[in-house]
Amino acid sequence: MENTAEKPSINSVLKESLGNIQNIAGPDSAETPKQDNMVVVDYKMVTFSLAGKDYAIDIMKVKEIAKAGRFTYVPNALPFVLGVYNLRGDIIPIVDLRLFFNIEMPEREYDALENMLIVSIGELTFGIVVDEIDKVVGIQKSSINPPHPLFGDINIKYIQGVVEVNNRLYVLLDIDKIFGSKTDNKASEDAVMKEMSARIAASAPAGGSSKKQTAPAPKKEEKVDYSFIVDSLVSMRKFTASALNDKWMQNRYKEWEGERGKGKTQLQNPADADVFLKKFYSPFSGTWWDKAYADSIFKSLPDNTAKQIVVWNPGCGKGPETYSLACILKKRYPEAKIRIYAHEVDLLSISNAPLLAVPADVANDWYAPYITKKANGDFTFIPEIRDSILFEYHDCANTNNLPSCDIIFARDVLSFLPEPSQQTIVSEFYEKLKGNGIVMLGQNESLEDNPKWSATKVGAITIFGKK
Amino acid sequence: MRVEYINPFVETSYQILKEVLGGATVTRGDLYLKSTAMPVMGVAALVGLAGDVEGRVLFDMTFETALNIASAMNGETLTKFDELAKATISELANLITAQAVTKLHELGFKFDLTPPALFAGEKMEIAALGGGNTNSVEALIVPLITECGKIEVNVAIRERM
Amino acid sequence: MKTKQDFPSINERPPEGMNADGTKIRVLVVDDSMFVAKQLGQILTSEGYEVVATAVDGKDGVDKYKELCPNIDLVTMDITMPRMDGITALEQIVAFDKNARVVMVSALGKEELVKKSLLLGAKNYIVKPLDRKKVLERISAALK
Repeated sequence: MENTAEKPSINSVLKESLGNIQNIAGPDSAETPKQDNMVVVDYKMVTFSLAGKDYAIDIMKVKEIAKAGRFTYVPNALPFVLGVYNLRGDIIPIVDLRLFFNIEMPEREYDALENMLIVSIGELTFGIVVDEIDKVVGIQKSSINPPHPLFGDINIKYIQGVVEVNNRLYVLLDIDKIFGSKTDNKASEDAVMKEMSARIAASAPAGGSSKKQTAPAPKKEEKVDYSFIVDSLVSMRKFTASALNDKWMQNRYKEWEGERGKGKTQLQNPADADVFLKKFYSPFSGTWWDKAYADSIFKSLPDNTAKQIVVWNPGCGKGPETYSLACILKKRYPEAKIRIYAHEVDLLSISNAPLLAVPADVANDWYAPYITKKANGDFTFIPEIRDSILFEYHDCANTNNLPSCDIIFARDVLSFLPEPSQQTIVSEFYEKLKGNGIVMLGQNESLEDNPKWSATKVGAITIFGKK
Repeated sequence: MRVEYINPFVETSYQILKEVLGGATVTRGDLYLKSTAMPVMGVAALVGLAGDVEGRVLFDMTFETALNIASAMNGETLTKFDELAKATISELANLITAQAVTKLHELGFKFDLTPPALFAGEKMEIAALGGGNTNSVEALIVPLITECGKIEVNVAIRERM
Repeated sequence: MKTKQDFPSINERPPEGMNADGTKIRVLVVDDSMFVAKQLGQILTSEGYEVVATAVDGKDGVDKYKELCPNIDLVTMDITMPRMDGITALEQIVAFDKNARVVMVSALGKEELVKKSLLLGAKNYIVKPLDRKKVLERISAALK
């Protein structure tokens, strides 16, 4: 690279050092090619702008382009990690390169749609927010020049090269270096990049179970112990400690420490995890309800004069909870048409729900008015109750087309989802819920710490509403 | 997808495929849900559904598998994916869907179906295969493995609210 | 000259598709699928029937029937077709010719469709996938 004596403008310096480049992309190329007219496009790049300057990325790394407005904020992540985004069911981290490179940019509007490039490096997928996405440009790989040291905006190690096409200068970013590719064998990697990859991998629930960033960075031994318990609960029973169940977790851990003794708190096996979690579950979780519990739910339901009451029951399991809810709702809102959408991602559990038989002792309990006897002596729910429920094999991480809901009933479901999914679904609750709608979670789950939700206690039951 | 709809599609796909392949071995893979209903293998035979629901069933397979199945169904080896081969795969889609719809009818669900359409190509027209919001429709996948290759029965159904 | 090998279903009896005077029974096949038309055609031809024409949808079927009448002895009619479905075509053909012999050949086996077709004048109803024996039995019954 030439070393010029004065300090001319960057563009003229680069133009000089780039020399006579073949301008392949456009018909307005003034230069006559030195060789014959056949120029081979052997490299394609996606061009975009960041803070007014033109950049590009190898098209092979770009999976797709998306426009998005709604990111779910991820706590404890680095500032340039904006959050996570639900890309058709896959939760991917979103990075803002403007923040990563410390480039000045206008204040982002809260609800504005951002332009994103979805890139993939090895097995990891990320979204990159940029100002504007321009187009795909084909070039000859040999026309890419190494970056000039004068380029002060961005750390040069992140630049693969520069290339001029049609009188525009593009800075070709090295995505692998920016995100720390797994195939990069360099012995000494930038500490920031290493941590960035680790942080990003931790905030996205990728295939294998990596350590989840659910607890603050362990400083003392106790905190290390606690975070190991958190990890074990995830890997053994898919229980994810989060803001949703934090209060209960903290109390339970203290109790556990007392039971097992300090330093001996570690969960040895799944059975141990079950003992720990035994105190988490709501009453009658996964089974038929007793009269007292049914009454407490009944009392917690607010007045509602709507002609149709829409209920979303994600994680309905085998069905007893849904049927119990259906009976109580019928009793509480006798004039209304009840419509319950019961979702479950475990096909085996839900496959028998529409035809669920009721045990005799249950049939004779408070459920009696809603039960009928079949010809063969089995007990089943009356058609009105059965018709009010739609059991669906559905993954709540995927988008649904539910109408606005009056009631969302999700007991002990969210705590068994990875944290980003928990956040996505709670946002979904907020969107789907009518203004006067209520959310009911598990006994030890709460939205109290979430500023968007209000909590009301009716006896032992807490109901959440939109603020 | 509504639980009651699953079995008719699963049973029918298996039975019809087995029958048209002259009793050949057909293995059922585990069912699962996909977040997007787009077909991925190269040949997609699609039958629209209407009535109590809206949506479609689609049969996703590679060119090679499609050719193998068409050959088996015609009793002769087809070498090109020509009009006859396409008509054969479309008919397979029609047979399976129609019988599933018949079964669902017996269960009390009123479905109707459209004549089948066949899409083949490296990059299939996204708009053509499911209307505006294909990206956001969840699909039930029923994998069926035969000697001819693998077929994925891809069902995307929404209740009419 | 045709030999016994050309008529696999016969041992000592004459092919069902042949009239007593040696002429062939003439069939119009209405189906939007090239594959089904071919398959059905093969079954019918192997039993001595003659497929005089094929129509690709209901409207085409009605037109061809009107055109070729009275030289059509039997019509096979698919139900699910674009432009005009088989039930509508059946109605129109029977309205045109009350002696028309139409046999429904469909993958849809809904009871109400079967009833509806028979009430509208279809002589018989065959559910696909095609079973050679069943096809020939039902066609033969429809011609009686």
